[in-house]
Amino acid sequence: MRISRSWLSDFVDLTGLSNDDYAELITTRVAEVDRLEPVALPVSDALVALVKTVTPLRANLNKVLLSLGSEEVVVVCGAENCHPGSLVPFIPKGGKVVVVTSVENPPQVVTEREISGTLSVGVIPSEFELGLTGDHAGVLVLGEGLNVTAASSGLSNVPPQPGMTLAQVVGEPDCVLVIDNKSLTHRPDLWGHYGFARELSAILGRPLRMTADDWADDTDAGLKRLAALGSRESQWKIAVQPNSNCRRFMALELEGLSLTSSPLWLRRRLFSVGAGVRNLIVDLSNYVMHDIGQPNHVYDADLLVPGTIMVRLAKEGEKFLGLDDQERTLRASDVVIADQKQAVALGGILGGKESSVCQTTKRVLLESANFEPVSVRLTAKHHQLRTDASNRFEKSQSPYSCPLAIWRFSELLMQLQKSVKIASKVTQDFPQKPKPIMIPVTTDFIRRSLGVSLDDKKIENILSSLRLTPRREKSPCEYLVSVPYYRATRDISIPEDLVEEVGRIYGYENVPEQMPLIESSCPRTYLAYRVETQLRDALVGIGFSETYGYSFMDAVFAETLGYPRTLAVQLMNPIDVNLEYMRTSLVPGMIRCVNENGRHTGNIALFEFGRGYETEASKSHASLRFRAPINRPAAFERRLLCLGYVSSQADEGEACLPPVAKGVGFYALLSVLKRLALLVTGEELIVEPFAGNKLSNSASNFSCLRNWMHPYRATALTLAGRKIGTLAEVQPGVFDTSISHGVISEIDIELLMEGMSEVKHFKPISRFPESFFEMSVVMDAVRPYRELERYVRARVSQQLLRKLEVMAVYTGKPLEANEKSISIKLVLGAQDRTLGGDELSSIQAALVDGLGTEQFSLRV
Amino acid sequence: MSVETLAKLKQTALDLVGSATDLRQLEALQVKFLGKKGELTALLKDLKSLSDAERKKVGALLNDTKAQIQSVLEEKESLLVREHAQRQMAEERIDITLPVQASLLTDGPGTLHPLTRVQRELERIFSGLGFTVVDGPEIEQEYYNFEALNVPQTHPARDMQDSFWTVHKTLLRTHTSSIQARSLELMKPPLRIVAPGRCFRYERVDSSHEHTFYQMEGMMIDREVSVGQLIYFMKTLLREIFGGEQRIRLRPGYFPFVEPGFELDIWFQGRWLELLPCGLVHPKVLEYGGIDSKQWSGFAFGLGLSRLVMSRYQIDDIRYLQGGDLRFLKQFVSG
Repeated sequence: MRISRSWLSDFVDLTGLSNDDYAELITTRVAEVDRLEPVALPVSDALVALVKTVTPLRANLNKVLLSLGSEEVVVVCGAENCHPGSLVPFIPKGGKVVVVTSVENPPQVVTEREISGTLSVGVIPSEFELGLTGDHAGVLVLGEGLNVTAASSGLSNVPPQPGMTLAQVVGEPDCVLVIDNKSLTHRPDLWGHYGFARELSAILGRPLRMTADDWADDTDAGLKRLAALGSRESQWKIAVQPNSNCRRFMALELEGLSLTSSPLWLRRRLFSVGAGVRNLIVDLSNYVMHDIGQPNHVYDADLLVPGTIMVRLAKEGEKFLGLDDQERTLRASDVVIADQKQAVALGGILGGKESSVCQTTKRVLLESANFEPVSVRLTAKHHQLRTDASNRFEKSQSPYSCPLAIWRFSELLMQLQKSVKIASKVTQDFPQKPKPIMIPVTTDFIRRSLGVSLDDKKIENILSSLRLTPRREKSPCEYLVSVPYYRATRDISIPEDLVEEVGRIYGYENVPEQMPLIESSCPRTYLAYRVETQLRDALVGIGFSETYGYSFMDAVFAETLGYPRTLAVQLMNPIDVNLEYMRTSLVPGMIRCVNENGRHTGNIALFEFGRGYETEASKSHASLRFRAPINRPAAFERRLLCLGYVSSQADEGEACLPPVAKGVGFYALLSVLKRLALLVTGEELIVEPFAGNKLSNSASNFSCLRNWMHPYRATALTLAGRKIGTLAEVQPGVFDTSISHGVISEIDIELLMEGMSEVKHFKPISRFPESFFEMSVVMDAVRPYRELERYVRARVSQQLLRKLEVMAVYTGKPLEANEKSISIKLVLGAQDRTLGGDELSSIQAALVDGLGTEQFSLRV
Repeated sequence: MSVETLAKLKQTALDLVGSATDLRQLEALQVKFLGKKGELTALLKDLKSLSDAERKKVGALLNDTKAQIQSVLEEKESLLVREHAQRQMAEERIDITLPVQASLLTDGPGTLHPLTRVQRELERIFSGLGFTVVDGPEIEQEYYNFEALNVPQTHPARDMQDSFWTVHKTLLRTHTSSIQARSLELMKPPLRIVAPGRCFRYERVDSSHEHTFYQMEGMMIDREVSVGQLIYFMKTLLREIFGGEQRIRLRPGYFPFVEPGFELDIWFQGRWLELLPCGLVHPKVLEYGGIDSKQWSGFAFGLGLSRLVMSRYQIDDIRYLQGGDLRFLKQFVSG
């Protein structure tokens, strides 16, 4: 929306306010002003000049002698419409001309130049070069209609004289406020200059110069006035069909027209709001819309079939040729205006080509109507035809604004073209009269909601300034407020709306900050929140960096990694075909992230907290899923933690305990996970080799080996019997960068937390010394240590076995090639005594004696 | 050359390929049959000596044989490669049950994501003011994202093209305001909540636009909540963040779920910066949540976390936030 200051001044006195001042008022009281655009800067530099002589220099180039009253100057000019005796503007050197109309290209400075041997000391500018309009056809010839007097602004028209400044003749340079249409969607009344004038009148406490609101026929006065317009009965009958989404349709026939161009002041205003210029009739129709906000349309009455004008729903497949020369096929939900023969307009959106004003137009039918906002929006959207009219109707204009356009258009036209007469009475159909809105409100409510101590009188005044008429009811501070027609759209309907009106006119900067008196209560902390915070801090502490991935997944890539799309949530309108599904696991994203970082560094330690989404909800841990329990989830969302680790060091780990020949990355990340699990739950994390190779459709299934996993370096992770995640090295070939032995783990946070006890009880520390003994056991090389551990734990009382440690793993001579030896250390102790030598010997003997039965042997 | 010779040659080739046990053997077979001086190539040269009709017939057969051998070779190759990889991985077997204590090797200290940093700071401030941190699902029912927030079916904000929709007629939440609706339904007033989280809008990604971004919703419901109180909480928030009094302004802004609604601007480096939309909770939103709007009132606000992070750390391209680049992430060691 573009709002011209000069136009606003027709309606309200803005003297004493700088452009910045009033833009600030609009921003803080009404809607945010995006920017201020001064237009027509060069006007200040131009003088009025009389063309004395025009001497051709060569083809299309003349030497022009200009009189400025007291002096004469020579200008070289190519325009064809520069004739002796004409009054034209003259910009001397040092003044400015517009070269390109845009914010980025400021006007350029005029210089003295020699052209074809003649010194030109300035320019005779076109309207475009003056920044007045977009007209570039010739120089501006100062004739009739230079200033806005015709628009009844009360300014006197100054006849141009040589030597005067151009500003004296055409008015001061204008300033345009640019406001984002989005900030006005809730204010249909602000889609014209008059609406902003109403606001400024209320804000500044200055009267409105034109009271167009009196023309609205929601009052008796308005009705009477309308009834008196025209004397003959109209030959047109309006018939609005039920369900045609038209709330009102009115029409007025005017005759005695001829198609002329619009006066400068009018073209200049249309230019300032960004509207194009055609001819007086079309321009005026546009002008009225930007003036009072009511869209309207002008038909050539001779091109319509006389009789009834219908507003109806289109027939499915009906053709309509619009003013834009495009033929559209309509749907049964589109609204059309039709004469007896065909559709002549797409209701509230666009006029028809065949009944439009043309060179031969003498008689017109002026339409001012009102349509249902949703219907207009859907039709405009479907046909990709958003017009100034549809934009306005979408916001729900009041049907009581219809007469305003009838009045404004006919008055202005009759002023500008003396031959024009009203042919007959206004004819209309008004099937949907909105009911007046009355809002009961107490001034206490307004004061309480704002937190200010305004007295009743002040509140009454503010409401009245906005024509929100407060009527005092019987009990104190109770009022019944009637809403003016132009705000009784969707805008103001409840007491809270009145709070906003009082607040913004009073000024929010006048509302004091107020500490509330409220019950002091401790905020609750949800477990998941606490656990995530703890995990994040711990991870950062050991050198991991946090990353945030996207919630979408590349389903093809995920499937190659072993995450089928079967249970993934599919999007109807993905932003990219590769991002059609919601991720079920954080792993694919982490693999890509590690891979990319592998191009820059060899040491990568990353973690991400995020959600995995699946279509099937598992009931098992629904209650913990969110910090607040949730009703009716739309999908199954899991809170996941994913870790990615790559190190530049070799696969061997000499420094580990016990030292290992390979897989150090895997063991390092496993150590981290074990510590984290202990830290937040107090439980021991256990590795659980995958049982089978069958791929599960659900990414929440942690029991299966996925395609990306190294089959001999992968495991499920369990905590107190629950499978809470996986840990695996990434198979060779998955990364396309040089990184190798990358390790990735994914943990379900809620499963991690499940069964967590808040408080762990103290266990007494034994006062008796511990004993230990070591043994080395030879076993098959591929047999997991876990079997030896089970063997030991089955044979030594849990009360006595304090610790079981692996000291070393050995392969090589003198062992067989398929053998290994594991050296373990048992730390034994009792709560109530020192273990005696006999006791220790019998434990040792029991351990050694049973080895053979389990295919272990003692290494001596 | 006869058809029989060809058939025999083909059989020999297939048998040899079938019994090959490593890639080197396979390569030799490729040369033997299909190479420049291979047996099949030699037969191809013999074609010249045949009549036109014969040449056509045998030629087609020859090509077919060649293609078959080629495809068997390729199949076998990929099988051998797979087997080789499997064998190699088997050789890399480790005892995953072994309790090894290994330490990590990382580059410098770990870092929290800047979004986490800012979110935590805000959570700390609001927790101190008695607000409970809550969250909700990212895939939402239309009801919680729109209806319950007084955004009716016909509202332009519900246009399909502004949101991501799933095939199940649910959508990716477009704002954390959906958590307002869920909290009202679940908690009894008086209540004070903040809800940080991930949101989605249907938008092409460039340096200043993202389809995925973060917001933090805040809401307080109590007996007599006023605009003055909203200003108090917002000013307190800014005092905490900036460590001193800040100049702010409220200006009218329209959001269906608040009435009156505002945009809160902050005076920053000589100009007004749009900080957050806020307002008094619309009575309809309270009623959707089953709360009597005659008894209770409230305020709500929505902070753009991603934008706050960008201006705090002077990040000029929003794509860094979810780009996962360690050279970016590693910069947030403190602050």
